[in-house]
Amino acid sequence: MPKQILIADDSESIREILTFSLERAGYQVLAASDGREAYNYLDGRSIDLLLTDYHMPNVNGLELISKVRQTDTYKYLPILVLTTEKQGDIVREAREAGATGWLLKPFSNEKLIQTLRKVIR
Amino acid sequence: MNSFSEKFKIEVGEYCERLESGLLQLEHDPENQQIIGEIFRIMHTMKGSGGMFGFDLLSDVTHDLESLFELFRSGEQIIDSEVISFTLKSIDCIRNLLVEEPTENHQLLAKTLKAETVQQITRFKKQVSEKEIDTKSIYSESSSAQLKATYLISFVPNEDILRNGTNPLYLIDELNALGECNIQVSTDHLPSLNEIDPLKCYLHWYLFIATSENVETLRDVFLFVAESSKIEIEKVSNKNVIQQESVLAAFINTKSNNDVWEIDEIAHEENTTDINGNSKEPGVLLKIEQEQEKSAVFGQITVDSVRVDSDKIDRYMNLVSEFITTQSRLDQVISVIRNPELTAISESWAKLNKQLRDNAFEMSLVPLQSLEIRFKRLVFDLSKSLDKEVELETEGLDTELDKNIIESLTEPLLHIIRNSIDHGIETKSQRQSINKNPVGKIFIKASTVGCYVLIEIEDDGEGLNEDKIREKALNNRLILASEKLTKEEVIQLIFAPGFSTADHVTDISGRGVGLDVVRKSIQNLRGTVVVTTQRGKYTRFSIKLPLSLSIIDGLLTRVGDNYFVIPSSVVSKLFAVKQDQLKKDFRQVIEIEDVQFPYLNLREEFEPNLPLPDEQQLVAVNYENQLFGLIVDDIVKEYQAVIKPISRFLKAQEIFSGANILGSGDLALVIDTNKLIQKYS
Amino acid sequence: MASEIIHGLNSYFTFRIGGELFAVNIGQITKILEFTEITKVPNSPKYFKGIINFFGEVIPVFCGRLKFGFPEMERTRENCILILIFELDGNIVSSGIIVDSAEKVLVFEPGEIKPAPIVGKGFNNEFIHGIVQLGNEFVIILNLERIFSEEEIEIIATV
Repeated sequence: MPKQILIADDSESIREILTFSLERAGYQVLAASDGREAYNYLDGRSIDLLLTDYHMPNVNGLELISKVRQTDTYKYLPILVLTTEKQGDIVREAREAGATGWLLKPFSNEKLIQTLRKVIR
Repeated sequence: MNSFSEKFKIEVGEYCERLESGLLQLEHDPENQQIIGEIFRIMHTMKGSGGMFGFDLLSDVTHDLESLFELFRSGEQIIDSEVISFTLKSIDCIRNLLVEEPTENHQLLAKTLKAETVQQITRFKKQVSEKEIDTKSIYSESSSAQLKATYLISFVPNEDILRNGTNPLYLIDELNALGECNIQVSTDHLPSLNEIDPLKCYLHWYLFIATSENVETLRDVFLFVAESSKIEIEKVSNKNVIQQESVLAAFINTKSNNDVWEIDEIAHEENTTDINGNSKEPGVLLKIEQEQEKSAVFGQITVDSVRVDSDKIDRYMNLVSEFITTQSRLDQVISVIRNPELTAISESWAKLNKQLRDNAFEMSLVPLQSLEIRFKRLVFDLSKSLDKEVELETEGLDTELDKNIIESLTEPLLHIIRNSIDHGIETKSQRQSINKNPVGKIFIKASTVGCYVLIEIEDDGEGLNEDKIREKALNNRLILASEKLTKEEVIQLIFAPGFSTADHVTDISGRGVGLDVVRKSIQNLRGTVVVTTQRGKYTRFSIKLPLSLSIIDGLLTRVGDNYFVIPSSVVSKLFAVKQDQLKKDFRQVIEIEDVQFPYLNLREEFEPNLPLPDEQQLVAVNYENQLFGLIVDDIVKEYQAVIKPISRFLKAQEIFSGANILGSGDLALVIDTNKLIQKYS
Repeated sequence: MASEIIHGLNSYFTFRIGGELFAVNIGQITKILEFTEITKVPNSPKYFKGIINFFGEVIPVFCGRLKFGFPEMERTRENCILILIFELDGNIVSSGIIVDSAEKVLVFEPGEIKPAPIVGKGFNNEFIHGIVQLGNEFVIILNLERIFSEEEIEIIATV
């Protein structure tokens, strides 16, 4: 059974490109356009990784991570944060909120898959 | 997905241009590591992104090209002009391979290109073995065990590492893929069974890895846990000692004594062949260098501009135009209402409007520079294939033109350059025999002259042969034998349809497209082209183009019942003139303030049936370095005029470049003063 | 403003020029205007009456009578301007034509439309897409692309 990845990003193009790349790499993909929508996907279904943007309307990336970490089912779900900032606050905040890792935008397909493989197989 | 691949295609187009420009620079400066590095990175990016967007052929071929440039990046090999030509050719292939659904032909093309790339690589490899250079310095990636160094990584995870979804085994697995590993687990910190918290990680790892990767890559494996966990990476040896258990064991033993670097001594003792004693990994320094390299890469990628779809610019221009048109309606209403407050608002609005227009206009301007690479490329390719040596010199390519004009101008300009190299510039030996510099020259110069842009393309070749042109024109029945033409007139015949100056059609410029097409394209842009030449010295094409302008500053004038716009850029002075001042002699010259200038009464030309008013206005406009008077009934105002194209059916009507919708909804025709004056004088 | 030619319709808009009944496919008509002021363009051929401001677009207007070889007449209240769109060299082009009077919309099945007969009358045969018999009268369906093709215009312009 292929691994299922939930992506949350308000940019349609990023969602599309992620979906495209991930599906090519053999993953199943659920796409949400903001934190709230993504959170609604966490309804008990099997999800192996959350890939979330940092800045999003409604529930933003950090809030989403905190909320996910508070659930019973998804408490230990690997989470990668998409960010454009290389160092500093976002990465630290994300880590403190419970993110597993991060992925810098822009990224190549190679980089995406390579990073993914740090957290799921 | 389509919009992605479209965007990606545009991106690749830009990459290709950057590659071309870089390669052309390398031709003169083959050891410029910065350029080679840039080329390498672009190849690398295309390889990576190509796969991401489904252009597998692209990533396939760029993979090999990347390897080829790896040879030069290392500095061991110096790029030669064969590789430059080859790579330029490959760039054309790359452009062709940018298809979503490759056909067999595409596959074949890619295959051929790959094979040729490999040939290039082998050619250098051979050179290498001939020079008997140690191969290991070149083939760092495909290197054998000899090249590997051995590292010890101690990985002490934070106890809570599992809580944020990290699986440390994946990291170890990732490391395992980078080289030959010897992994040891330390269970020293494992508590007794009843004390174990299953959510905590108590294990520590000692990993020996023999790899050709550098420390940074190894460190990257632990990127996400680096801050919370303890990661230490130390170089054990510059050789692969992974099989040498005694070394590893010794290392672990000595490690507890904090005597880290002595272990290399052990390795040396056991491996006397290791000549490289520099065992200390300059960790910090290396890190800084790598950071710098990374930021340099980012500097290349992040540009200080945003790419905007040209349709969007067009739409923006249209909106600004609509805005200005609305403004003039507002003015119209205000002139009736006469409310001072409203007038003030409208005036400041008009100012903003003007800024908005200027801004929009600037956005749609593109410097001629954007074509420079294509010029260079053409000169490079053509001179190679014709075995001529030609140098391109440019001046004023920062001159800007409306992007629509640039687009339509590209082919005509390239055609002229093609012509100059093919027909104009002589072969090396011919040039030598007449004491000319064996290297021919193409000189492209652009400048803004009034409201026109002048582009000159000059070659220092043999010039045009007037007699030959006349003969050809006679043969092709373009002129009659009885026709008396000046030298200039004869020379312009090369623009006539059905004229070809080449004795025999070459496949360079004889592509069935003649200079008549060039002239037609330029005329379509409301421009002109003339050629001047001197036998044995030069041929110069001078192209004059309007700055574009869908929105201009204009002078609104009235002639009879109709309104006409004269572009402010050509207007020099305004005078009121009485009918008796206008001399009725055949020369039509008026003297104002001791200056005589020729004039044209638009009332007589456009409304010949109406009687002339007693007083009229003379608009003095610049025409070919002199003043020319256009006489209208009234000057209404100076304003911003949005030029709407008048129908293509009126193309023959070239004295008007467009029409403007007035605030009242009426139309005013925009006069092209040069064409008007030419036509009537 | 409609800027798209609607294809595949069997309805035709009919109008009179010089007593003859003409028609164009309804998909090629975007608007029927009352006769309005037309801005003259100096130095243009006679059948070219000038330009109008049609909702912010500048559109040329031709005189149907002169274009099709009829004498020009005094304007009447019945006169109107049809705004037509058609394709020229791959571009969508708008143009106005002054007609004597607008008639009605009729439906012709493709089978009813006969090829243009070879007729004299100084009317260029190539302008005709086809002919439909309607009672004792013929309706001439115009081929706008041919009528407005640039060669035509240029030939006329040089005459």
